[in-house]
Amino acid sequence: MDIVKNEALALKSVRKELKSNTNSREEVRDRLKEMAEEGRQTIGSLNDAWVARMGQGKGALREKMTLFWHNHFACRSRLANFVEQQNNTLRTHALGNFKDLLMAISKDAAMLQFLNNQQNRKKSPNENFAREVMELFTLGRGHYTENDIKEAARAFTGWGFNLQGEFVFREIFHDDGIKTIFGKTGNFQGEDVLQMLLDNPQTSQHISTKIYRFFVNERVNTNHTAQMAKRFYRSNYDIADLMQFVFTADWFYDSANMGAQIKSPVELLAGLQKALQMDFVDKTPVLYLQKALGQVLFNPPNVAGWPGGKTWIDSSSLLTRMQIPKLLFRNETLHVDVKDSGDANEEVIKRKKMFEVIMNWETFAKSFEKVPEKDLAKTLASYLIQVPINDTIIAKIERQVADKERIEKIKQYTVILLSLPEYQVC
Amino acid sequence: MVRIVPESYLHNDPATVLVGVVFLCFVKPFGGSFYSNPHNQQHKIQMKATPHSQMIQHLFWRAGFGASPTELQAALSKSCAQVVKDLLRDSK
Repeated sequence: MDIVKNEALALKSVRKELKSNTNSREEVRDRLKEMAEEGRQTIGSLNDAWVARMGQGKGALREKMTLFWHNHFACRSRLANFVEQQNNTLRTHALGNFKDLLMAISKDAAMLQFLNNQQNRKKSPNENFAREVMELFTLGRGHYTENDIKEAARAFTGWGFNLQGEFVFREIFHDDGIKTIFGKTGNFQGEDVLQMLLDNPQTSQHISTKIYRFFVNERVNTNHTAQMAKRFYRSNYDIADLMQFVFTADWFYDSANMGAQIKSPVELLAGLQKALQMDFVDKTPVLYLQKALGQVLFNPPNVAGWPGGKTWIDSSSLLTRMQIPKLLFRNETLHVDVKDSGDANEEVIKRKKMFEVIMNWETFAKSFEKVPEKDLAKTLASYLIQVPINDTIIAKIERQVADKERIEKIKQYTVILLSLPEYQVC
Repeated sequence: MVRIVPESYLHNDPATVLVGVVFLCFVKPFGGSFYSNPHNQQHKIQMKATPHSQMIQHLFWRAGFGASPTELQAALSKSCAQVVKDLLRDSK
């Protein structure tokens, strides 16, 4: 994605104006407010563009991997150009080599800013970045000591960024002394620490387990993750090779893994677009819906990302999820209010609840033109829903939609099927 | 699996939601009673002969965001391994 101007530079020039006193303080403050609002809107546009990309079709696996890495390297920034840059970095390396991805993201402006590494200096080390790199990005909790974090933080001193969002190594702030990390002693730099983390097979195990939970099943099978970790480590962290291994493994197609995942809000929205080949005219309700369902892209709750799995569903979000098809195709309004958290980083989402969608039902119906009328509901169910649907439900749906024209019948079947709880799993 | 489905299930009224929540207590992600049956647990399950279309759709959902009718139609004549290759090639 490439739609954002350099916001950091623009902000700097406005701040300069504030100091130069050529404008009144109020004028400059208003200008800063306007810019902050513009920034939020731009991040909203990036959000729209990404959801559209997911629902479009081409490069779906890359987008799914980018979404996975967005949650793995969870990060927020108010600067739209930093957000865009990080998203593009994740996309570039999404199916490449994990070593390259880890190096790139560790030198990414948004991440360094989010984890306060600009403040990590020789005289006052900040351990935040070093801690998260070990705990969340590579080894996982319990595989390092507090001393490893302290010493690693020293190696990352001086790692920062400029207003263009480029990585900058500020030698003046760097601790060039001898460090002892994971039992090894030397004059280690940040890159050396990242390499040590990659050399440890536990990193492969941690990433494989996360990939298994995201792509296969929340309930981890340790035999399968051990196979994955071995393969990933041996391939020197080739992500595409690992994914090919997972998607061609017999166990991936076990019936226990089918319909075993709850769709995340973004998967749900992108999936609707994909299955029905529809598009949203006005994106505001889409953002509102993301917020109502608990997943606004570029705005993870914290550095650990969205917990996912069962946490996507509660009685309120299930009601909203089941309303979506009717909102889209029956012009109903969204009966849910979302509270603002008060977090300044958070997207301010207008409460616009009416959806406008572009959907060609005739084209959609054409895909099922060879299906006899009596099998329509069942066929649509097997296309739209990933778990078996009880014949009783199919019979009830058929009764509801009897005596309608074929296209209208397909539309009504689809709306009802998408409103079933079964549609929430994949 | 047999479930009792009231009429309200199809109308999204509060009762529907209640039924939905109860339903979700029985589905796999929630480790509900059906799936927590020891015979159905993942590590004990034998690979079953799953219909090809179901496997392809499972693949499209996990490796992406589902399939459009056209994509699904085109993929049904291929093996899962071939579809995986195609998905990787499309994402390069």
